[in-house]
Amino acid sequence: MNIKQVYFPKTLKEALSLTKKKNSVFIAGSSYSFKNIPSQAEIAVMGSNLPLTYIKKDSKNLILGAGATFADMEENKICKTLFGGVLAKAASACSSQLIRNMATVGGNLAHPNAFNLMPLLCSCMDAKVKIMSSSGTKTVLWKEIYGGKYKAGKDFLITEILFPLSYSKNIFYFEKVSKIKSSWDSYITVCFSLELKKSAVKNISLAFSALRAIPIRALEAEKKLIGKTLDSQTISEAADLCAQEILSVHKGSSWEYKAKLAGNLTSYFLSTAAEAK
Amino acid sequence: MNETKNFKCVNKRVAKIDSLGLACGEPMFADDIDIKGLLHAKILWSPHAHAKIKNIDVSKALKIKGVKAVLTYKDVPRIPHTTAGQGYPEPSPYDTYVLDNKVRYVGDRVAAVAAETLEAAEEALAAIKVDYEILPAVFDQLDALKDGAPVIHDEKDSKNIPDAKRNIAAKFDFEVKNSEWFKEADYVIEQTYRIPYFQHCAIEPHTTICYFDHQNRLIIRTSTQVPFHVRRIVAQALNIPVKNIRVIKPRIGGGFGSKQEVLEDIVAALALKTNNPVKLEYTRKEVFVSSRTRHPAFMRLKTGVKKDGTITDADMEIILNTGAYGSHALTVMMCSGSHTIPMYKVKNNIRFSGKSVYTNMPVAGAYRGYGATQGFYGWETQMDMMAEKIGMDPVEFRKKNYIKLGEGSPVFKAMGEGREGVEQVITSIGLDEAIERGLKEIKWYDKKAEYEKFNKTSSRIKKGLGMACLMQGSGIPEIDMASATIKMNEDGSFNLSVGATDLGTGSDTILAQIAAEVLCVPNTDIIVYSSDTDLTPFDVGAYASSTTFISGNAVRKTAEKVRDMIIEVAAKILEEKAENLYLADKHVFSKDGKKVSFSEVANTSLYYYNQHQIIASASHTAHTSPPPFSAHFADIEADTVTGEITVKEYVSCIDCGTAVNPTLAEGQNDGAVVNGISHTLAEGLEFSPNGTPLNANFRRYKIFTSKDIEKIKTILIPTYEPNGPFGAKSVSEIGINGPLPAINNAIYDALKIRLFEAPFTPDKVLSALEKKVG
Amino acid sequence: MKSENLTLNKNGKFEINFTLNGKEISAQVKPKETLLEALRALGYKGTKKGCDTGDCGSCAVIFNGKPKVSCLMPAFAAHKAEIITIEGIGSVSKPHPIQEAFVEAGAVQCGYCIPGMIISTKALLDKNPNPSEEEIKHSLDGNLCRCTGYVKQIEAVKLAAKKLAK
Repeated sequence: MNIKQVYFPKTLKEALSLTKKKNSVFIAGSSYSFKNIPSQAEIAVMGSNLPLTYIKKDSKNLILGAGATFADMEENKICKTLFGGVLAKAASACSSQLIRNMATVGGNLAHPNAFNLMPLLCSCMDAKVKIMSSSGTKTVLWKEIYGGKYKAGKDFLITEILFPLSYSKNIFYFEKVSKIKSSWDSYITVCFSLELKKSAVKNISLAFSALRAIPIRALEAEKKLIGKTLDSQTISEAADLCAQEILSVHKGSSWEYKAKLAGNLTSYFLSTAAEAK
Repeated sequence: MNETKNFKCVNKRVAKIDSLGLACGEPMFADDIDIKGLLHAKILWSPHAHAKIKNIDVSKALKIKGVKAVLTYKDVPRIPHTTAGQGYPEPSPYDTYVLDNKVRYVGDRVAAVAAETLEAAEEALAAIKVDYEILPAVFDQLDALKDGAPVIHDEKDSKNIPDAKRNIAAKFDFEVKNSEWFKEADYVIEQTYRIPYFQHCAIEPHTTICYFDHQNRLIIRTSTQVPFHVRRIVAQALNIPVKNIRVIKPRIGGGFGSKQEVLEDIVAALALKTNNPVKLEYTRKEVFVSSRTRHPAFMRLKTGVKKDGTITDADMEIILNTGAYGSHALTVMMCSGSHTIPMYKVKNNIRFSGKSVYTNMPVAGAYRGYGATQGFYGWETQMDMMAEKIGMDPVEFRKKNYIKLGEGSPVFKAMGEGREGVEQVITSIGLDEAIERGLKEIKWYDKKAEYEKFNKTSSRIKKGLGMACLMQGSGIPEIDMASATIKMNEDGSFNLSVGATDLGTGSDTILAQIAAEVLCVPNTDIIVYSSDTDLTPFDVGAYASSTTFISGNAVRKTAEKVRDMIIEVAAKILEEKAENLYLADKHVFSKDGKKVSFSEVANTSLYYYNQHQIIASASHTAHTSPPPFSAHFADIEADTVTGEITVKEYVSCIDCGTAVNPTLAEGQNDGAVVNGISHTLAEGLEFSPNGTPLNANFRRYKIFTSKDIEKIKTILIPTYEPNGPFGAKSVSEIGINGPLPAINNAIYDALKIRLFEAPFTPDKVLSALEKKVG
Repeated sequence: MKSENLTLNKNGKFEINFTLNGKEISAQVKPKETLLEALRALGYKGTKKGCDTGDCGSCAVIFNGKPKVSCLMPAFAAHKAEIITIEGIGSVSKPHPIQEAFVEAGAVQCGYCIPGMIISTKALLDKNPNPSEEEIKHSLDGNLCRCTGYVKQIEAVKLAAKKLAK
């Protein structure tokens, strides 16, 4: 690491013009970035002054500014009430208080890692992301920021994460299974969402993380559940499919447990939802 | 025994004398000073589990700007020694060298660098070229015993290794045979138990600064539990006179046994080579891998029991993994039996067979509990199994069998810590009350009934209760020695100088309380200075739960001598006979009401008449090691969907004799218990197939945070130990031994599964649950 | 308005200005230096290094109002910031009620985690003067302690809340 200059831009336009520079690196909350700065980086662009720390709601979405921290999310009233409070619940499960105070939701999404929570939440709710580049702003599905030749923090900046209010009537479930309660990593972290119509499944999201850099949606299981009522046979089949989906990623004894958890948690969620009705 | 009711300072919750400074961030720790010209040390660690160093070339490293010294095995004396901080002659193999031409585990020392900056030191490490001849390695202690296993200590000059060819670093066998084995037993239970690598995780990493004083003596300012052993062993390993070394222990950020180890030699070597002050600060990863750990254990326990609840036979075999070097190999192994087997009466036959075995793994050493942790996991789980076999309440089964006041055990004499022990009988025990108080506090019987009902209808969560009974020791009899010096100042205050090592335990405070009790002053009139090999008298250091019992008695004796000197001066002043005088409230009183203040006594002795300094020293060793006793109770919830175990409530009732400072005693026990629950449920070092540690950091090696504890309660059960200072015994280790068995027994209560391999992580629980159902 | 920026001076360091414990100070920091290293080099030894990976909390400081782990932050990030270390909370001659509470409750054993604990406690009580036990545990979960088992520390926070309420 060879930082020779540090900037604290106050506007997004300024930030973008800086990140376009060769050998620049964008540092959001610093819970990850500073110790992982590439050796050729010479310019540090600090995101701390950017006006992105808001959490708000409009007619279509719950909007998280990319600079909002997990602590902000955890304490925010909208995050505590919408979507069954799952955003606040997930935020409070992120590592520890000192990290929650620093880690930004944008940074968490930009650096794909099996244990990051933002990709999981986005995956569950098919969230969208607003990104800004020198050619303007556009809104894309969350997954599209990965894998392309345009890099977050370089060619574009994440400005907002949008969770669609169309999910707001769903039943949500979040659980993180780890050895201790304040943990960055976990055996598995799940975020489920379910919409029932007259006891039949109208909409279902079964998202699993702590497995691969990008969370897994159990699409086979979801497909099979659409239109069905949640009787024990249906639930059991869905749970098995989820378990198999996890095992198809990787075999090995530690993954057998993850697969078991995937099945058990799916089963528990669907049974509880069925009973509640 | 009602002596406690009359104490003026002992058994009082006085504030720990260093607490306020620590709470205000005062610079009190090893690294909290700035020294001009300080060089930074870095160590090159082995990337291989087992290899010979065929060639090591440091020429490029020496050329790097800022690098002042690079040491390899060629630059330091080759003197076999042990790093174990134990009394001399240490009961551990002399199998370690400051630097060697062989590496024996991933994380072993290869070379050491001192440079003006850390960056330069790191650059130098990268520039050292080593040609290794990689040797086959072995990682499990049972494998290391097999024929054909690689020999880890094949060097000719190491000493005190019982059987290096078989990788046996220590062994001990003991048998009492009164009849045919298991003949009288109605049931025989044989079970194996396994514990992995646990690490102490003291929040302050090992830190040592070596510098020179005006007489060019080497000063070692270090985070250690054993300053006197550091001085002696550094002198031995580097072949320099003891008198040229001074060891100062500042405040240290926890030890738990990990700092009962002499790792300062390499820093001293760098300082001597460069003639400059040198600092070595272990990174957290280096603490996990290259300092010390608990001994992983494989234990086999075979016990016989009769339907009436008599334990007829006990056959205990333990094989510890001592890692690449045999520090504490014999003593931890012996304590696994000496601190556990005497707990219960065994009618006919007792056998203990112990081995500590070398492997190409991190070095195990002293860790709170010291073998008893491993031993009680097996014993207290098996007590429950035996009780179930004969259909007896596990509480009643223990009550029927545990050792009582006045009773002894053949184990006490046969097995000490590293050598034969001492004959002793139990001179104080409050286990009965500890059990009763614990049962009451946790509402044992009510909850048992309630949980049985609850578990029938609850599908996801199951609840259960488990208990364990424990003992430990109080110092090592006839080996541990402590001494103290007290002098009087003109205002009637006193300086107390002790070698005893306060690791945060509060020993400075409680030793002041003991002195204050004898001298009849508030503890704030005692100024404590500790753990400086130049200025304080000898003490073995903080381990074996010895400070209160042994150092405390040394302080008491010293204070009594000073009291006599005070009375002698006061007798002159008051024109009274010494036998008519007594101390109270900073004065000397005569039986008929005359009095003289301490300050007048002090001024008289310093300035007016027969001038002399009122000062005395005394030492103490013990002839017994009276065990503290404890009863632990765990109330758990088991999640059958995930396998997670949550401890909802944990009650431990501890008989430590008189608690010199109840707040500090409770705090010690709380910490030990939570450490135990944490390693029961979440801890363990993981390794790759070639012996590389995989989770040597706080992110992946989990220790409990504040969110993981629910109700934790320590209850002190007062007894009076006649051999202890004002009735005190030890308190600091015993608590860590309860959670493994108590939680194991509670899990059985909830799920009807037993776990024979720690830790009880959710995957293991779920897997065991499935096996049972399937 | 142009943003403030930092450029290396001829010593290869950044010249930064920030508020530390209420005082305006200037410092020269190396690019690779963490905030933790910079604070200790400036003489503020109360902030400790326990792991250097942000996992133990013994390096916690209050940074622009929020407790954060200084071992993960670049020293240059302190530029124009407001930082409070344990030394700024109270001293032996004039201790803060939180520090007194930790002493009285017996929550200080080796003391290495304590500055970080007190930083987290101060931030908690500033925001939430009457926290529940759950809220206390949640706010302190980034401060590892191996000595106390957290039992007396949680009591200390409750005691501190009482003291501050007076």
